[in-house]
Amino acid sequence: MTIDDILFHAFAFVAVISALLVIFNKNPVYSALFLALCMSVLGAMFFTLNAYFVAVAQITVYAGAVMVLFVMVVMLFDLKRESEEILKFSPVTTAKVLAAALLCGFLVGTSWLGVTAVKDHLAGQVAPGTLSADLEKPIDGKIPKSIISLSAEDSDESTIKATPEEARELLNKMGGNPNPDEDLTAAEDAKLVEKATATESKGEPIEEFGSTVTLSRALFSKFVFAFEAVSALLLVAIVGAVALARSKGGTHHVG
Amino acid sequence: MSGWAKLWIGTDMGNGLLEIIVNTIKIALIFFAVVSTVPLLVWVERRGSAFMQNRLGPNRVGPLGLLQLAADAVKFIFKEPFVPDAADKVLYFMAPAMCLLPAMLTFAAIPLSTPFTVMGHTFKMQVADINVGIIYIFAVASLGVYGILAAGWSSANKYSLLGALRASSQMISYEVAMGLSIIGILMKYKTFDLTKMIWAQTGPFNFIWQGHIIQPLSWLPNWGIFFQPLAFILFFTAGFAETNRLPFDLPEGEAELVAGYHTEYGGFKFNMFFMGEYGHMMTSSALITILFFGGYALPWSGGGPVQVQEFWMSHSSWLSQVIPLATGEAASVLAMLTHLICFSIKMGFFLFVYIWVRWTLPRFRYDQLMDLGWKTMLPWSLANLGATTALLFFARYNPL
Repeated sequence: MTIDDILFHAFAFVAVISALLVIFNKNPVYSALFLALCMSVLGAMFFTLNAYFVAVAQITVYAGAVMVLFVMVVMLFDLKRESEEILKFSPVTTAKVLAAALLCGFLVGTSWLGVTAVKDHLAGQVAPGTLSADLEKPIDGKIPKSIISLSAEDSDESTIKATPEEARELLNKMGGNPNPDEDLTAAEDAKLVEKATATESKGEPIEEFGSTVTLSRALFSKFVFAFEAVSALLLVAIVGAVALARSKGGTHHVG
Repeated sequence: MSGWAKLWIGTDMGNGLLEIIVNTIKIALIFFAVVSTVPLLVWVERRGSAFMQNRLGPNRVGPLGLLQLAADAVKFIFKEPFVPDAADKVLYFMAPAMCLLPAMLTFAAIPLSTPFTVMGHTFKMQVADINVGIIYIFAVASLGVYGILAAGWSSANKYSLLGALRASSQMISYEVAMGLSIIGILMKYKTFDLTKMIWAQTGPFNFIWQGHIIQPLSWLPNWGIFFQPLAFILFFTAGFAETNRLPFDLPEGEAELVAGYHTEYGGFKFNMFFMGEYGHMMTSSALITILFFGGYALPWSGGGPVQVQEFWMSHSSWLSQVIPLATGEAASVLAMLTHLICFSIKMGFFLFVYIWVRWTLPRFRYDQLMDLGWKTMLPWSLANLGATTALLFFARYNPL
């Protein structure tokens, strides 16, 4: 267990606790502050995962900009009446609680499915179509990058240089070598050692992982549609908020 | 590798005992360095302001009034702590720490000098070497607003709340202009890494225009300010607003707001706000040094840090007699000290300018402050960004 792991779990614990406190706090100012704490701790978790840019973006955008405005507005309002409104039992409250429960169930279900899918894949029993493109079954012994980092986390022994036997065993475990009993030539052996070494030493294969260049390249080429779609969604949300505020009964209703 | 060595050196980053111990010491050192520079700055501020205004300033305690710092510190600690009756106790006590912490955290990413090697171990003069250092500093600095808001709200005082609102809206407004002003220079350096920025500024003034290296003025150092003078002015101005100092110290106003968000704070809790403000000032000066003035690299030193290292290496014959280290290691330590002094001088100059401006310019009105931030500085930084982008596009376009 490295310091990174310890820190990751500590931050995860704080994140969960602060997220719970957001909901269970009666004082809206504290709720907003705990949400800000939750966002910052999520950023810190990205730091421990070596994703520096994502971490910093998380802190700047959510904790540093969005939540500051929330906290500011919440502090200015007298929200006592609102909190009483929420605590009162009514059909609307029931609907709210049900919706929240539905979302929780959905999240738990998806994450559970995701975990089983990764586990199945690592065990070599992958069901076609259950995983994302990144976790596809390796072809011709070529290991996708995501698998490399996953299995490197799993192996306890992080030797700097693996022997051919170890390398073969490791690759078999990952389903990289289609014929485990087949004898390999010396050249192929050397290749295997190289691959497994890259797999084993955690620092090297992820040198560019999480850097701005890698991230922006992925964001503006492979995921450009998703990226643009999300920004369009945000625009719709802003227009919707303005429209709601200006509609009849809204805070900025005109004439 | 034996078990003990594995534990000591570690197999991975953040794994070895040595690295953990060294980092812990570094964190403590940086914290105490920043905190103990604050009294010195206060002394410069008080004596300096006195000389600028043809007064004497505090000159009774110790030589040149230097022990006034100690007297102030003692007073801060021994003052009676009080809490307003209607205050929200938890946030009231947390707010000073929430203010001080981000200021200290930002300083962690500042590279103070070149790395040095002792007994085969290389130590970086930086707590956290993050490859997105500059955005990290912006991100953590933006968390400082929470402390101010919490202080204003929890004090249960209208003046405090209004002061907190002023301070936070001012900080948010100027963050925009501040962030936009440096994008141009980041595009020029092609990196977010503060150390790489310093290395990009070594050597004489030169740039690449369509595949040709152009070196018009070889006596000028290759500093960022000569490429982005407007960005420097905008960044420096926004720095004053971010630290809530004159001429932008609107959160405090004796006549309208008493002392703003820290009206209800006294003793050591007030001192923590104070140290937070000076911590922000120091980070801001360090950033200006790194972004626009070559960081720790000596100007006119040719190859920059490499040249300094080579200079000390060439004196290795007598170095090894004076310093009980291997010659290469002694040279690296001396190069580190040289760069540290260089960095301190540059940073100290900007700290002095902060103090100088405070006692020279009158303060703005609040609407003037907002006008300056949104209607003047934001358009100028956007224009600077657009112009830089176009210029860089043509400069990097290679017709060959």
